[in-house]
Amino acid sequence: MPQPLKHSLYVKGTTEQQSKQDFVSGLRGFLLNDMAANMKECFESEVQPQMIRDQKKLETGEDVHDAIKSKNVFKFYSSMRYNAQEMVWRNALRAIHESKNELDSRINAIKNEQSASKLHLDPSLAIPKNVSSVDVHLAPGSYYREDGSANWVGGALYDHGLNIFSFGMMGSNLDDIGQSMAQYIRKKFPDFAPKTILDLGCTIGHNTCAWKITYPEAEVEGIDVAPACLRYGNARALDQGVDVNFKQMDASALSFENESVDVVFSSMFLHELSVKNIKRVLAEAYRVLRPGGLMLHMELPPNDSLEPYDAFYLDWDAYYNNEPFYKAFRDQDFTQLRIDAGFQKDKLIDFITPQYTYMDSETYTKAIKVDADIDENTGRLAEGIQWFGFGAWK
Amino acid sequence: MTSADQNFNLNTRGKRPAFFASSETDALMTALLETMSQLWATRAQVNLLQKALIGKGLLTAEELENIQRSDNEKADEHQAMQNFFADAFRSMGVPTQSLASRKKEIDDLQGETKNEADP
Ligand SMILES: C[S@@+](CC[C@H](N)C(=O)[O-])C[C@H]1O[C@@H](n2cnc3c(N)ncnc32)[C@H](O)[C@@H]1O
Repeated sequence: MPQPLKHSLYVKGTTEQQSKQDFVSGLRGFLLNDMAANMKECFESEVQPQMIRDQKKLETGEDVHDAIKSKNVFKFYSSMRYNAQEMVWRNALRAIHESKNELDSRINAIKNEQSASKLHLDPSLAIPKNVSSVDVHLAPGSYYREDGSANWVGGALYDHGLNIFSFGMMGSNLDDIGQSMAQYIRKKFPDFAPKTILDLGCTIGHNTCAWKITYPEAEVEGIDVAPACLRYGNARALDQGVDVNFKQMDASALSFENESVDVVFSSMFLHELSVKNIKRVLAEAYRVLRPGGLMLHMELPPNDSLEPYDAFYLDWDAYYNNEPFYKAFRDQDFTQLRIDAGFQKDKLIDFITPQYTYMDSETYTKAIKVDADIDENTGRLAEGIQWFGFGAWK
Repeated sequence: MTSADQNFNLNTRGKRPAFFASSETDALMTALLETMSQLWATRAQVNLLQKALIGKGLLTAEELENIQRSDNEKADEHQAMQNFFADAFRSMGVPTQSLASRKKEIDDLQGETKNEADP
């Protein structure tokens, strides 16, 4: 169930709206756990044996997708997931709409006090095609949505939508990914003391703030191309008392100096770029990193590490959730991508981490002592989820 | 609502995928889920009102908005929701038969019964 967000920009909505949000959240939980299990069972008991009998190719997610499309369970699962996704945004938008003026005053009050030095917008930067050509994740107006003077709506939509979408699985401050990744590095590499940390595609900075909390001494910068998200994220961080700089910048053309950053991080970002752009972003990361610095991306696991069914399952979003680059990215060889960007093969890191904010620090430390392998729970929003990180030291 | 409010977009750009053989079914699914969501919200409202009426008699709107559910009650609600899903979606994805095959089955059964009744 969605929990109240821990900042003053949270729109509670009426009890009726809250119940509708609970419903969508609960529905997603049901679909991604129970109904997904039914679909897998249908694959194993009907589709796969039939494919074997018919001597059909069963090597990739696409092979599974082609074969399962005609099954009722796929149709219902897909139809309900698609509708549920629309309902996530519609419910969030209705609540935001009703509190628009109040929220506007709250954001302005925070802005007037302290934000100017922490927010750098660049009106000359165009919204890139990967963000503007479709409503990403089916979110009406995508990340950069602005509604007249309410030029922060895209950010509020992401925050409130993610809260409904994640049915309590992203942490009580929606920052479990950031906290888990940063804590993993801190605990595994206790001597590493980054001075500058950069988060690419930070959206509203919820996971960026986690790095500042983990490494309070560091200067933390979040960059994104969507000004609506940066404005909102700036107010959100200030409201929570976390000191992060937000900059409107394209990750494929960073304005940071060569060798000026210690950590280049991103979460759930690369899969929203074309392969050409991913290569540019990784090369930029290499350029701006100081020797000894770390590039780290939290992402969905590559398709070559997955069984065909699990690849199909994750690729659903590419086809039906307006994530056009999702599959092409996950079809890449993640090792080669890093080597092509300039990193050395013996300096690559790949890991799986459990959810830091769902356990005490000691249990977490013990859990990451054991190297875990990618499995069907990796990156998949359902019970037992684990996050996947890959990167390299420079 | 001002005209600017009417422009507050709730819709996703682009065409919706048709998962079913007929687009009517896709549209019905949307209507079904929205109806379920409204029903869920209404059910929650009724629960709240009942609680208020039983506990305190007549209440102000503000008091009504501030009624909190305990963790146990939330867990019960969650379970009720899962049961609701199990009921509402029970026919999805299960084997079905055409009307012709059903008729044949019934006819066959009737035939068997007839035969049994025959001396
Ligand atoms: C799925 S969101 C990332 C979410 C966030 N990092 C998290 O952890 O939840 C992808 C973000 O990348 C941004 N983005 C897309 N292309 C970009 C680019 N070329 N440079 C910088 N940001 C970009 C989008 O505006 C969006 O905010």
